[in-house]
Amino acid sequence: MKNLFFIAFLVISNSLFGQGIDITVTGGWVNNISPSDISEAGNDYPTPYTSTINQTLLTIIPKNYKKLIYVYVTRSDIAWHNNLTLKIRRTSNGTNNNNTINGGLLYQTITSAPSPVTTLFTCEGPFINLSFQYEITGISVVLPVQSYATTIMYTVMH
Amino acid sequence: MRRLIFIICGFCAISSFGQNQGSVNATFNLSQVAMLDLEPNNSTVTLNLSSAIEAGEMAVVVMTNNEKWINFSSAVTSAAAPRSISIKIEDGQVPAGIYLKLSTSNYVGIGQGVLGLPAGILTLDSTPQTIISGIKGAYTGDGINNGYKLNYYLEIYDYKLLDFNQTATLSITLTLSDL
Repeated sequence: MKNLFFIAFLVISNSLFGQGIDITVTGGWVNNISPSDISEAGNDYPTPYTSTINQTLLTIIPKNYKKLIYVYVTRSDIAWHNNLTLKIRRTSNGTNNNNTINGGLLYQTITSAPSPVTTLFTCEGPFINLSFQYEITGISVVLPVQSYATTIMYTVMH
Repeated sequence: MRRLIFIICGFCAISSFGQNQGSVNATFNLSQVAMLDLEPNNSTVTLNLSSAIEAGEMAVVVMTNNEKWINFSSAVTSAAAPRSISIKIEDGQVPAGIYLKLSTSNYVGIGQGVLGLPAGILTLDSTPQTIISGIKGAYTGDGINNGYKLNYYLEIYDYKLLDFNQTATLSITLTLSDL
């Protein structure tokens, strides 16, 4: 009974006093790899494939603007192949009122469990529509023909 | 007192900690691929028989441009049956007294994947014959010295049937297929 009260207390106080962070992530990447990408018989697909520079948009609104926010990215595979490597880079600062943001401008591999999550960048304050670009390597005729899919998880924490 | 400390600690932890998650999907749809090419080109192979230089010697086979390289790119599902490349004389007839032979080398080159196995030496006719079997997801590499080298040549099987005034033009088809 005591434990139940304590859990209820944590939940209520978190909603009242917790310094949460609201985020919005939009824009997945669907790439239909076409055989016409192969320039001539005997060749493989050209690699890497890259998305548009603003393929995904991320908005971060923290309740406390003064705290350093860590943004992590990781993969949760739906159907994947070990030869595939998915990378990400930040391509803009979004709308930010000159708030501080560091890192993420170079491509980093998005790993999946049990590998450690990738720290994409850090920032302070709100950011609207930070843009991201992806790169995939390993697409090949050698891979079995199917759809390969993964969920890219963005985690913000302070 | 103990409960109070517990509550204060919990409150501090909550008030200093914030986390949230969002996600998007990335999907890559691969398609079946079946591409076949001859290198350095698909120009005509010329095979000539010339009469012997001295009486009692065999006729001389003179061959020009008789080597070709097969390049291919193939992508299949994991459940798909292996592919093969077949060859047949599509049009025309080999002159009497000689066989048109084809030798297929082992694979060489910079390709990767399940590239299949060559059939070796075949006598060509109008029936499709497999020259490379067991191909799955693979690419041979592009250009000469990549893939399987094809070597066309003539073999005389009956001298009395030879007609040195005869010329034949044959059309030969190579097909990459699921079998």
